[in-house]
Amino acid sequence: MNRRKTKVAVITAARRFSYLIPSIFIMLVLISCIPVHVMIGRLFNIIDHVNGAAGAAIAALVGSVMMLPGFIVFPLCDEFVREGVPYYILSALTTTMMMVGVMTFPLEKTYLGVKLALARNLFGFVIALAVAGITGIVFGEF
Amino acid sequence: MMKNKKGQMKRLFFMIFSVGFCLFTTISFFIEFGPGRRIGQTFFTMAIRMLQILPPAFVLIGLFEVWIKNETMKNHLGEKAGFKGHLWAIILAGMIVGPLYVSFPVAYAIMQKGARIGVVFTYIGASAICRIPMAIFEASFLGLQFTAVRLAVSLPLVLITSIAFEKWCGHLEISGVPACSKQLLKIKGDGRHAKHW
Repeated sequence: MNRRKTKVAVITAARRFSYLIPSIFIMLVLISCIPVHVMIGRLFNIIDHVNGAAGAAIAALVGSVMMLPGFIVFPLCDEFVREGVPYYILSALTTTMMMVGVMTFPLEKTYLGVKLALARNLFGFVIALAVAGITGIVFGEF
Repeated sequence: MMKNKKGQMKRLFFMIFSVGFCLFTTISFFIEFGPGRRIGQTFFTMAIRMLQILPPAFVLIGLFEVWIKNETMKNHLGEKAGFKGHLWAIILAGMIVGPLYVSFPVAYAIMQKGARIGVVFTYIGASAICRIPMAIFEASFLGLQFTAVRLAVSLPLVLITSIAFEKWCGHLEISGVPACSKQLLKIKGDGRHAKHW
């Protein structure tokens, strides 16, 4: 742990961060251009009408596009539960929100490369659907 | 030569794009154009949130690269570690705080230190689903059963997919290069990382 090395570490960190600024910027633009509140309102309407596999699929798609921090998502889900939205749809929504990041893709691409990032997101989506299915079975909603 | 030109074009495009975006948000802020204003506000709050999280994360990663020996990393997360590597990755991921975009640079750092690709995949997957603070928060709102089912299903699936992934494209780990961008590879120009690439 010597001083010079530590200094080098900090400088490398700064330089590495500066390389990332373009992808972070694009990610921020994507996030800010998609109206999350409107989407949540729509989701309410859609989920009221569509249940079952189609509902879960829609929730999963919305979840992969949305990117909200946990302290907003989970209280929201609590609200959904009180409105009578089944648990499997919520698990599709939250799991894709955590695992799949359409918005974070520009950033992920710079680290993992397009192929790996794409594969990871696809796997995440499939896993989320599986989780949703088993949640539905465990909670006896099918 | 060609590649250099392409990079320049990309940079120019990005500059025009970002200046255009900034102009759009500022103008719409002054003429009170609703959607533009909202976009600007979201952009600003998200940018501040990210600037609070990312630079410290990068400094920590930099320190991690200097302080932790490659050997330690290879022994616990590398080729020799076997299944234990995945367990370590899950434990490491559970302790991370913050959104998914923090875990990409960390994953990149441990990959550079000699972790194998399957372990890196487990790390990213696990940091998405089983960050402990987030799981506790989730359980307090949606019930313990919900969280337990989600973890019990998704963790094994993440493990299975990352092991399968390792089998499918393990060669990426040896070369390492195709798995990350050329821009980031420029960093090794200072010669510090050149050895284990």
